[in-house]
Amino acid sequence: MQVVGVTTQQEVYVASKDRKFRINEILVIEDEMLDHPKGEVVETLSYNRLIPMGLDKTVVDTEVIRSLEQIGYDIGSDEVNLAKLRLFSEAPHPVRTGCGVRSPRFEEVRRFLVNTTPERGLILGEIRGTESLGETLDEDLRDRVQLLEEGQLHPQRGVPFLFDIQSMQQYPHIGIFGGSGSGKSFGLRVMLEELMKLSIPTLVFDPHFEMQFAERMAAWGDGAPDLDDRWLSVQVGQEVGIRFSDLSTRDVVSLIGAAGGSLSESMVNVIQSLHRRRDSYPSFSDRLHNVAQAIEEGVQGLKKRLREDDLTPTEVERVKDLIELHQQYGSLPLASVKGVQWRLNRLDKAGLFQQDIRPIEQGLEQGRLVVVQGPSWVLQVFSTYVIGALYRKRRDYKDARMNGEEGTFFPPFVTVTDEAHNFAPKGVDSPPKMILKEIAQEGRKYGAFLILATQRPTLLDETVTAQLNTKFVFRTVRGTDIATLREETDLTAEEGKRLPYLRSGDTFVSSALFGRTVFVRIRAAYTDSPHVDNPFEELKAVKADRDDRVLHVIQERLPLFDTDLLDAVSLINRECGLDWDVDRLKQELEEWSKMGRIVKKESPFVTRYDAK
Amino acid sequence: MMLLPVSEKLRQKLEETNRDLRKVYPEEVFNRSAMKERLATIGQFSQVSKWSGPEMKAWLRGRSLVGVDGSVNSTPGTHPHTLSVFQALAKGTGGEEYWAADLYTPLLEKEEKPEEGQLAREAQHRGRLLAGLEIGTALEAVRRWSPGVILMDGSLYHFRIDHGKAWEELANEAEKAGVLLVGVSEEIGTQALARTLFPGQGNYSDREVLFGVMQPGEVYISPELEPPGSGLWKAVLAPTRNPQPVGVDGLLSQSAAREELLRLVYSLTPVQGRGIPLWLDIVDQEVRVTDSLVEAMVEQHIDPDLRHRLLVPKRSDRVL
Repeated sequence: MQVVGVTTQQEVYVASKDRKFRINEILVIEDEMLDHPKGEVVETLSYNRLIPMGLDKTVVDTEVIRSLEQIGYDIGSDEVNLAKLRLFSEAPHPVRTGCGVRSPRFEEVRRFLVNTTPERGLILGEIRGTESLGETLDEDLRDRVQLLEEGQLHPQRGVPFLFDIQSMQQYPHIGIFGGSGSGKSFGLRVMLEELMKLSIPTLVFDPHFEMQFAERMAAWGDGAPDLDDRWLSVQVGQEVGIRFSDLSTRDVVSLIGAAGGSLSESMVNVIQSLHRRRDSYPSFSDRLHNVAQAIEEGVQGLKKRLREDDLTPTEVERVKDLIELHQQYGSLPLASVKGVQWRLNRLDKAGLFQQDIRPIEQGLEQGRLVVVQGPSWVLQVFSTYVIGALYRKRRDYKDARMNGEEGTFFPPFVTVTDEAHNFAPKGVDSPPKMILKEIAQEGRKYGAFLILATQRPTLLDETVTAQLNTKFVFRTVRGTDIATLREETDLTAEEGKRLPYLRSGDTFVSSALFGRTVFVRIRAAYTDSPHVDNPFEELKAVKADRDDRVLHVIQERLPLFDTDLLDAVSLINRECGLDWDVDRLKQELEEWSKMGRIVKKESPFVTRYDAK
Repeated sequence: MMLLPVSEKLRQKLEETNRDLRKVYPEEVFNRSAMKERLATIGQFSQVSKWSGPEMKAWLRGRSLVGVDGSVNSTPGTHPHTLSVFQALAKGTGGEEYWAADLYTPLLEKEEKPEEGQLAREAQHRGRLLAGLEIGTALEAVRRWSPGVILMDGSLYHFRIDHGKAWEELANEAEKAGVLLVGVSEEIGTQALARTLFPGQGNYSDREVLFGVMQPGEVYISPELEPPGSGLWKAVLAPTRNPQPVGVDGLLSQSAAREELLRLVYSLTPVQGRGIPLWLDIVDQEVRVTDSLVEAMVEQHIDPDLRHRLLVPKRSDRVL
């Protein structure tokens, strides 16, 4: 390998006749004047002068080439490999052309690749292009990961990619970007597995119901750590919910706002007027209901009811209460009161007020990863509440410590969400956005960290994006997103061009931590997302199963004549829990006879279905 | 209307020349089939077929094929202010390579009185040097690798003329080692056929006589072609659709392999192109001493004052 052509202080071209260059591999230039600068291959190309391209050149007769190959000629030996090498740090003057170039030993480049130990960092994958360093790798970095290529597990060949968790103090937030199928969710899964390994309290919002860690990847065998007691998953409305009495009026406003569209001024006014501190759900809901009723009936109507003869004393009390409510709140517009009522009902129906967040708090205190599942809109509402509540707990504790008080301990924690652009969208307001923004800007002080994944970085709030100090960029096809990512990271033009063509699971890691972009292949996950049936397979299976059951039931009744069908259909409905009529049974019998499962015989008088 | 900016006089002259040429080379004489018949009277046409890769491999019995070529280039000055760079390469299909190089400048020759024909002698001297170098590399190839066949760029006859002594040595050693020597020349420079067929026409040469008469894969041999006493056989082969056939020659002592060698040359020649086996093209491309190479080497190794005093012509400072 040799430096060729025109060089600059940042870039050189390297040529080799007998060695192919790997993209992102690190090479050492043997220029003593510059103290052996090191650089990374950012572009590679090969050409063979015997197989030229272009309209002005004829391609050499393949027959002749093949004959030459037969008698020992290696056409590959006429191949020339070229690489564009970018120096890690700018040289004071251009590199000397003609310098030798060699592969480095690991210790020479360690500082560019690894800045923590496997025990203290997240082991996320393998740094691409470091295969040649595999042999000189330090013992503690060997065999740390396995990689999944074409469905097969491969042992680690290069340098593992370690993400220093300690550095999150300084660079607290992580963004994960990539289109569907880019390996983004898979990267997120690996990251969560690593957080679990280190017992870091983590709160995950999972709108896709895919973040389960119970199914182990069989291929790992015993190599995978046991994560079973490191995580739990809870569903909003079942295990967890919001304790209504904990909510301040402001919380109630934002919660109800999240339940559907934006709140009108007068709806906010309704809530502010009617909500009291320490209101329980029933008390607030009743008050709303009563006020609505009072306004609906009006003072006149209520007074008229008071004059009715057959009122019981309790009813009299109730009507009097209503009149009082009307005096207090009669000026509120009925439509707004009803609107608030409807929204509150919707939240209640989702089970939001049945439980509290105790299981989540407890899980985090135990250093576990807590996955919160629920429909997207419920998660938005719930996340607003739960992140806010937990962040406040953590902040109160830290503030108390700062003031020299004891305080109740609450651990630092990481908040993770996929589809982050729904939680903190650009331009429009959304309930969780405010709290996410606050954590993005201030969370570092209190030990609250964010990992946000999205396939639409362009739609993510800019303030939040700007605070993501480390960005994992997977395959991205959309032009606007590529432009956003280029703007928000130190990806070069060449790397930007590669984005649409990245393999699933390959990612550029742009981090303040490394000061440059590192190209990484995410390791194989220890666990698999819960197995989901292919809906089309499911369709087929369900039909086959039903057919089998029905055929089994009528087996003994065969042969069936036209006249027997009524009887048969009621038997089938009873035995198989179906709701068929005679026509339906006829259609099915026709189909089975076409499929050859039964035999149909027609005579002028009667049609007979018989077993084969 | 005049399309080209040439004078009327020049145009007339060109037309005259065309008429004169036509008189000397009349169409009825240079008729394809008639010419072929004439040629058949003093020699014979035959057809060879191409080898497939495995057939060729079997014939070589595991030995490699070596191509030998050389190249010379000089700095652009006038005599004696020139420096010539010689390079020769023997390259085997098994990856073997042997390089040889030489330099020559008349500036370092013994003082000579300017004489008639000195330039021609210079050219001859360079030709001899180059031939010697190529023969040397071929000899090295025989000694080192003992390949099945050595393909030389240019006719063997020329090597024999340019450097008889070295040639004898090569021919002897090749015979002893059982290495087949074959030369391929893209231009046929002989006049023997033309003289025999058209005794009165001293101007005709074999190139014109053979033009366009052969089909791809056709071979023509004639006793007239073989230079007497040279110890060489010679054949004409049309390896492509190009109307200009190529010359192939080899050692008489190895003429038993003549047909196979012709087949080999034919098989290794791409259908398109100038009709030279691809292997020789590959060698040629690698060995070629380009202008920029000469320039770079002179610039790097000859002191600037000497370079400007002796080698740099004023012409290189032309602005337009």
